[in-house]
Amino acid sequence: MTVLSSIKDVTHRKTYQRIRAFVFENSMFFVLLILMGIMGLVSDKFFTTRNLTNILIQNCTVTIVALGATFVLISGGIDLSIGSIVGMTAVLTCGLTQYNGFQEWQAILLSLVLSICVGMLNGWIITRFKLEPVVVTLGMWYFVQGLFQNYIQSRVPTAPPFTTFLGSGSILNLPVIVLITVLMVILGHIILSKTLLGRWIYAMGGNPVSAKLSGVPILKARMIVFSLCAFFAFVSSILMSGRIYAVDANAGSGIVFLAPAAAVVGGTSLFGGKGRAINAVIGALIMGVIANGLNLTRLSFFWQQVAVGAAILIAVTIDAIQRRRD
Amino acid sequence: MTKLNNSFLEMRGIVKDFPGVRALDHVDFSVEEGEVHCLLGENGAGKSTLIKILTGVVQPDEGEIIFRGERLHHITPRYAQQVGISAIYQELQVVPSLTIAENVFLGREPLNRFGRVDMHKMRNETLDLFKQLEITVDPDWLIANVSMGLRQMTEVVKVLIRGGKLVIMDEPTYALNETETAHLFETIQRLRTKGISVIYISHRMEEIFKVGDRASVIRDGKLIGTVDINKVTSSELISMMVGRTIKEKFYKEHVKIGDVLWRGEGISSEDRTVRNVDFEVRKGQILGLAGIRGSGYKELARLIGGAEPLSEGWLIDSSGKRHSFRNPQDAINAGIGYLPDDRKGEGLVLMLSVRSNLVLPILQRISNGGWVNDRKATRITNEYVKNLNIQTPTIDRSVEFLSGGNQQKVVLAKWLASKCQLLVLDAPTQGIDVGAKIEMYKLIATHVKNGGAVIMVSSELPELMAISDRIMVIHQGEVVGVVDSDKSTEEEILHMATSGQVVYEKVNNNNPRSKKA
Amino acid sequence: MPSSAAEIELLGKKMKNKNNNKSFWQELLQNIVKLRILVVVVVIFTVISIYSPTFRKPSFFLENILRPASIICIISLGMTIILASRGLDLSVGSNAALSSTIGIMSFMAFKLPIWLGVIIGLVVGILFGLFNAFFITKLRIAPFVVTLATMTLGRGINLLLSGNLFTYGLPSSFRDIGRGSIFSIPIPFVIVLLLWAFTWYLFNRTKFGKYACAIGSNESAAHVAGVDVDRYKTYFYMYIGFLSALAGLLISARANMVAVTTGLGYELDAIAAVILGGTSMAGGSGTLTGSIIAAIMLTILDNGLQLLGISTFIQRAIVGLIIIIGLAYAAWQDEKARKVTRLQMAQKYQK
Repeated sequence: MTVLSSIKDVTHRKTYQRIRAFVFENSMFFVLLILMGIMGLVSDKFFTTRNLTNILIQNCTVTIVALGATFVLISGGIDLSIGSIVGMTAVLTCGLTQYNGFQEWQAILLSLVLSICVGMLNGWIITRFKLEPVVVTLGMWYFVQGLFQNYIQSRVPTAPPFTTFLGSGSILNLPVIVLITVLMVILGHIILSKTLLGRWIYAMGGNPVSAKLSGVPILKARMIVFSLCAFFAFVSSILMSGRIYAVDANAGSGIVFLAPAAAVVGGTSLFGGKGRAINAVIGALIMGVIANGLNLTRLSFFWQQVAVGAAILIAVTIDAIQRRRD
Repeated sequence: MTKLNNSFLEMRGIVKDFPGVRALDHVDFSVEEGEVHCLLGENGAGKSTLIKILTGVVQPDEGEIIFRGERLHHITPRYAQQVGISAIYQELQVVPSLTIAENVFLGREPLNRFGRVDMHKMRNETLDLFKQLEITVDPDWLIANVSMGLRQMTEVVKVLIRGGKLVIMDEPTYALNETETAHLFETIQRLRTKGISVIYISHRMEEIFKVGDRASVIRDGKLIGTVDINKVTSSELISMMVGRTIKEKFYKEHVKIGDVLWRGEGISSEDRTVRNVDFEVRKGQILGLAGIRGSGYKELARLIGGAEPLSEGWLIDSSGKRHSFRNPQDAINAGIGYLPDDRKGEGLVLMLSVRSNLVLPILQRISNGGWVNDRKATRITNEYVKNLNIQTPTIDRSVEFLSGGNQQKVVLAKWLASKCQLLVLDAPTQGIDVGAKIEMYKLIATHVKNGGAVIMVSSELPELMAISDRIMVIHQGEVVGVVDSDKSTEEEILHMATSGQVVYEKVNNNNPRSKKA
Repeated sequence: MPSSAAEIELLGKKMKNKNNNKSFWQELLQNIVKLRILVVVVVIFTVISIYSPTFRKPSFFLENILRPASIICIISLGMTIILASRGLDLSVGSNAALSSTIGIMSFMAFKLPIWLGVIIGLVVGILFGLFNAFFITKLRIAPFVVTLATMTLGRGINLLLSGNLFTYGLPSSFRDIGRGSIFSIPIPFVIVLLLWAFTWYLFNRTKFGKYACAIGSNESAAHVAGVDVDRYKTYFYMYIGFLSALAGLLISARANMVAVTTGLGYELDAIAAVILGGTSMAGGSGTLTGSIIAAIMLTILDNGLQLLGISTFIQRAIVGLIIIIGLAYAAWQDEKARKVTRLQMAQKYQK
């Protein structure tokens, strides 16, 4: 009798511990669930299909940029220039086609090339001169933003057809934007978990010195990571342009801090080495759910800012406490 | 606090245990007022633990400490400073962006009425103190621009300001040149006349004989003896430091030594800590690198291993091709793997799993165009985990949870898996328990049996002598000599390492002198 | 000791220049000589003066350059200290906005006397800084994250509070602070001068500043020497909080309203000014004079380029470019210098 009950005790304890570890590992996911629950209680309109689809669609662009930011964060850096890449892509894609007689594919291609160049430059400068990523990407942000804002001035071009389709169209009743987002998430996940680059990213972020000694080509890897981030920013921007139809000089300015914030809220550590693709999704969703919920209850739109700020603080505090316990 | 005896410092019956090892075993250590007492012992013998206990960084398990007649309980670093015990470590705790005077007074700045820092007072007092040591300085110099010698003097003055009575100096001449070392000794003499005692930790025999009054030798956690410096010879001290037999502690197989695998010609480092080194290592051979702290032997290992770029010289492989590695990747591709002495900081990515760490150098090899073949990675990892007997619940476990010995095995496995023929190992058995050490030796032996070669850096001479076939001794960045480990003695090697000369005189023995340099 | 004295003499010359406790004027001179963008700005200044008579007028300089520059100057003073201590504060803009909103609300909505409202605003700014400091020191979270979060938080709360109520029509006495002048010098800039003097004293002559540099240069050495690192960090963030609040109030005074977009982007402009002014992000030292000069230069650049017909956008781009090139160049110089020192020290090694 006692033997049986003690066995039960042990297994219970083990499962309890397992569950506890799982919850801690994926804490933000549960936060998301809790949040959704709260929202559901607060407003009966929350759990309608229409509302939930809205949340999904509105968060697509943020999710993709957050993914890009995740790569950089895990590798131990930060990229403040994503905002300007988003803006530049949007402005060039729409502006070049509308005002400068470019073909749509040409404009898109040019934006792509430029975005990747920015990324590579970021990576190169940071590694070669051993500078802080914050400052370099800050300077790059100013630089790129200044240039594209100067190009577009106060004009407000509309998005060309294919872009519009990507952002607002549907295939078989499914919004293209969601499909592409899902694709990017899968891509991000694969890169991080299955590719050489992914391993390099985790190694660099975990311990750049050890990584280097173990043969990871730091310069090459950093340049690729930043280029990858730029690429994701590029994709996000195309979708965004397509969705809001018209872009102006301020395109992308809100994204700068939102993207890494979403990644961090979702569970990616700011110190590097830790994080997954899904974190970006969760983080973006959390912010989206909060915004949506607040909208529904007619609470001031500005509460969202408060909530985002609070969310980041809570997330990093949890991260800090977790780190202490280890 | 009762007044006990008149001894300046007395440590009685100090015992300190760490998991798996007894670092200090009933050590009695005492220092007199105004004395320069040298503390000798090999790395890991227990010197630093003793000092850490004295400065409050570590708490003893047993024993008592009586300082200037009062028993000290539960020492914290702050408390130790207050009572007058200070330490000057190799890593000078100075703030580079402040001036000398500001550094001296850091934390205890004199203020005038308005809360303004009284620069004049600081400057003048600093000037005075330095004058007492007969050094002329401008207290407004930035520490960042000042030489190592002067930085150290600043630390000494800091001690004086805080009313230090006992100063512990850990390898103080490590980064000093001759002139600065002479200054330091003069300064120490002046401290003595003020009644300040110095515990001087060093491996350099010439210095000990120049500056010390008495010397204590610690070995394997025990105090072997305390002697008057002028009544002892250097060889006697070395014998006290050494004095182990224990071939059973090691594992060595005799392997047939083949052709030259790697050669080095004129190897020098950018900052000249290594100068013009030539060497060769053959298949099946274990070449040991010996030297005292600061001699450049560790830097040499880094250069050979590709962790630092060579500023001059070449590494020549078995086919005669010359290499000068620009980064670790090149070295790995050429077949050289480097195991750093800081395994947690430089050898592993602690956050990652056993598997990730193990396959890190060979990632490119096990992937097809960017796609990592996880199955291969798992297979290889499992293979090496089994062969090396790495204790871990799963290979996905983060390495930070492994024991020191197992962590070290993962690092070694990394290089074995990458099929590097030459392994450059820096302190491969440092900080791991005896059982794991033996396993490590066996692994090394297996590697060389299969045609590989090993260059091993170790500050534990007995280990080096037991494991290596030949030992290359480095002094001040240059090669002193290469000896066969079974034809030489520890004393001889220690002598070469500390003095830089291949001259040796045996005491108590009728052996003739060996060849002169 | 002969060799000692000789050695010291040799190094003496090299070191005198880098001596820390220079007088105010020495530091000013040094900075003007060092700033590379000065060259660019002088060029632009001359060019514009040729083309535009208004630019040459001193009144123009005072009104259109010094007045708007004051805001960044004030924030940069605090940011210099923060960066010197190896920290970072991204929340200054939101702090400015929030503090000024609350301060103004107290005398507009709650009919408290203006001076009390101003004080309340400043106190809010200090508390904001305290909030930041708590997460940074006690929970040991990176300043970048904490201030990023509080930036968003602050902005949100501000938008909330100022959403309703009033937005225009501040009392004239308050407005005058922002718009008035004393002896032709704009009041905001007078405030800058006063704060500059005060902060300079704080930073260069008291423990406050010394510890900031010590913490930024080698935090563990400072800790070991007995400096209460956490406490001083808290002071730094509280001080910049105070300065941000002050800046916010000045903006509102000048604009005659509580702008909901107040303060946006100021954090980055301040950081840019501080870095261009010569303070390194790696910490250990800082130059307030450099930051002030750089802030003014940036405003001149802004204005001047505008008059030249070059848009604000390009100006932004140029600033970004300058930051990157400046940093890369400085890093490159450091690398070379480090190699030289290592070689020198190693040469001493040899017998």
